[in-house]
Amino acid sequence: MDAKGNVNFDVNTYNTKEMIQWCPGCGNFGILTAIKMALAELKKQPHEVVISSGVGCNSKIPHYVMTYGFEGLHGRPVPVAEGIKLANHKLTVIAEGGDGDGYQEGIQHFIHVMRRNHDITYIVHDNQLYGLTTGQASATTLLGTKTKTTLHGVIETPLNPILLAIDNGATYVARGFAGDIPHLKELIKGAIAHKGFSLVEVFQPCVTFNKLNTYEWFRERVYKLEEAGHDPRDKKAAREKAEEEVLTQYKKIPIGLFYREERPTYEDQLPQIADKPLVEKQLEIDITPFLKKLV
Amino acid sequence: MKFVFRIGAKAGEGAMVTGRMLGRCFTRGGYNVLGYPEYPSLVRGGHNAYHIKISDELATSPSYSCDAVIALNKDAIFYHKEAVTPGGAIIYDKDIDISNANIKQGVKLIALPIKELLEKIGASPLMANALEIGAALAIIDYPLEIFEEVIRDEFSRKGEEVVAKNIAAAREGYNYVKSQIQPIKNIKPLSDKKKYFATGNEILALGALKGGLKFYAAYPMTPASSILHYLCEVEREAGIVVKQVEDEITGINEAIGASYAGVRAATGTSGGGFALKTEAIALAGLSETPVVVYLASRPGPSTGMPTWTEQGDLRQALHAGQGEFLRVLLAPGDAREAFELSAQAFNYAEKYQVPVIVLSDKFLSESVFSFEDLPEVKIERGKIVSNPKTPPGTRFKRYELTKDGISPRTLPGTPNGMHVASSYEHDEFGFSTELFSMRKAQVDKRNAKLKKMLKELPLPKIYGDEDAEITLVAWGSMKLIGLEAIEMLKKEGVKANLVHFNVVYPLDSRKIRKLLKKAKHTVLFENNATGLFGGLLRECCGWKPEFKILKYTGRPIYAEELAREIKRIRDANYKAEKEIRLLDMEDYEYYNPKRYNL
Repeated sequence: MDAKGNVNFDVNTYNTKEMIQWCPGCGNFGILTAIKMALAELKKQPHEVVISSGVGCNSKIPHYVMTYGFEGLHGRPVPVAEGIKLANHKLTVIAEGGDGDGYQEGIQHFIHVMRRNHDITYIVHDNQLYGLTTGQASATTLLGTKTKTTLHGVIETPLNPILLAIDNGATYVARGFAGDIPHLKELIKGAIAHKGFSLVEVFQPCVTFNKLNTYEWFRERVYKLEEAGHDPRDKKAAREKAEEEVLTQYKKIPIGLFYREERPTYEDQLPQIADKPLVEKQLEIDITPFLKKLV
Repeated sequence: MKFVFRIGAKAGEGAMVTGRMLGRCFTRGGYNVLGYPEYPSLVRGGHNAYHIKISDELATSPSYSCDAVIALNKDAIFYHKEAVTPGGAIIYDKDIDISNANIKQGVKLIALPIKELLEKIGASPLMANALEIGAALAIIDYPLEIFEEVIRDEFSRKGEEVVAKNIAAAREGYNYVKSQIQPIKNIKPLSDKKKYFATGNEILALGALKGGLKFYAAYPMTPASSILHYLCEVEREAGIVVKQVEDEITGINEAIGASYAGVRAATGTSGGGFALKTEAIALAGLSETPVVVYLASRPGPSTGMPTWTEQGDLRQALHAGQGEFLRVLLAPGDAREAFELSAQAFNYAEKYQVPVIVLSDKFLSESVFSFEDLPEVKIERGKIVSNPKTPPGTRFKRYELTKDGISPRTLPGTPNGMHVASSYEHDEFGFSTELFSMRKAQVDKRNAKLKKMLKELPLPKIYGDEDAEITLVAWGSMKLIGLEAIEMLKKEGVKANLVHFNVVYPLDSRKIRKLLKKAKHTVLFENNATGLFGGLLRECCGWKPEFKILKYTGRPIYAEELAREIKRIRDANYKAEKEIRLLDMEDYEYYNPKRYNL
């Protein structure tokens, strides 16, 4: 900020003094930088942004971004974000989850928030296992992977969050890679700017527990949809791209914007908040008209 | 004067609508009225009953006896014939075969040719309800005009023809009865001052609106669902957002999110749904986010008896959530208190930044109460800072260590107020900490709120004679029963009073002990099996009642059985058994009429 109080937006605008507690080399660092860059490029005032997180390695992120933050329960960043958005839809609301925190414990919220199309950006830090609880399998751990809880290899088919999102009403479905910050930043920027529910699923290598899905592993496999001429308005093509990794046995993994559509948001369809957000409404209301009907 | 109707019907036949409309005829005539619905956990089949008690004194407890039964089917005669007092009447459809019904001597039978009367005026079978209400009013010679006005208000949105046909049907019923019998009683309107008539849940919802509720997110569950239904009905007009969500966990987490963002927010459910909200109640506790939770109880554990009543969730509400943290438990005792405490709940939640749980039960939530006016409640938001002086680039001290334990809050959108509200133990800025001294300081800070809270929260109130021989002690909805029991006892020359708690936690030990010390003989009565509140009083105040009266059959305690037991204790010169477990005077079930070959 300069002497006149004007904010020169850059990544430093959102710096905090808190010590970052992730393992050195963690994919979360890339996501953190991409978020700060996206906010800066969109010139978002720090006090007009709220980040809602749950519990997990990813969930510490509100502490590291100088915005408002709510660090709630494991699996519940999405409903808290929905509440925040409905209370004050002028705010930019970002929910942060992980593959454990979003695709397992709280997956019902993921499914229903897409149907509702709240104007919320949901960034899922997918490291394909449980980090904070020291390396158990998650919903996106690949078949056959041995972990502390799958000693003989995973036998559950991995969840496909991209396909689920496309089919279930998400209006912005993207996947980034923590090892490619400029690309991820563009996806997050697009997601925040998008009016409606956006999913940004991010491959986030866990350098401590995940010895399979490493930076190198991803670098050898990912390619950008934007460079492959994919049209994100084409739902059928988006579905095909979402299945490509499985069909190619993980030889080719697309990242980028899979799908995008315009649909009225939940907030847009509530006439009672068309004039102003709930938080700006007068608390005292006249209940006489309601009482009259009870005579 | 008291007069009791019972309306009995097959589930889905309209006993509920008929009951409420009949009740409104009397609240519009200035009477006190209680509407008490009973129904099994079935959508079709089973039996529904609706009690309407009318009085110029208290009408707050259901009764075992009634003066008139309106039987909409054969089952209704079976279920309610024993309740009718001699001199009373049973109005029934003439097509019902009552030849084997064994009706008591002295009970008047009025067979209504419903089908013929409706056909005569070209009204549809749906209008039988209006006809029956007309007939019911005729047996007590109550003016039909009041009901005609109720019909107009109820059906005008369905068009003039529906109104006219219903009025015609009501007149047919009324005139038919008049032509057949003399009225069994003459009841005239007391005044033209119309009273309100609303369910406990509607009143709780109105209280919430009065208290500034702006956001309600919930998952349906009996008997809390009608809070959600009512708020949905008024949401646009009231300018609030009401949301049915995917589960109870979502409901409370959304409410917490909305509250964090600065609006007054609540969720509501019953026992099982509340269990799901438990983790988030602790989240509100640690993150010090205000939230109001309505808990309307039914008999548990587990699914229990979903459509009946019990005060069995006190300990669940008290202990919900891991760890130790303050909360406020409110348990309104009647319509006025439901309104006032529901509104105050939001003040307490915001001023103390704690979860507030409003306890009710099926009896309070779904019964319909008459009331004249409602108390004023002023909104107080506590410490919210709109212009913080935090240096740029630093965090706002959301969890500042203060003497009264309450730290100032900033709402998202406020410049220089940025902070993280956290479910982790944290320092003054909200950043996670495991520093022992900070942990202790934050726990102490949160617990320090108790002092101020106890100063503000209302103490139990005493109803009846100060120098009574017997003091009844109750909480929540049992006030309704206690008051009528005292009234009955008074008529029998027994001086009793009632100490009623509508704040059940936290309790001010010193003041409560002082208050209870004055009592000569004490009887605690609760709608549960183990005397949960008695246990809490003993724990918090070191106080123990002389006698306990408990009921956990699914029905509320009825004033007449409470008065009866108290009289028995007194007649035994207080040498009766210490714990009395009540069983209803009528024992049947509505769930499966087939067991009675009906």
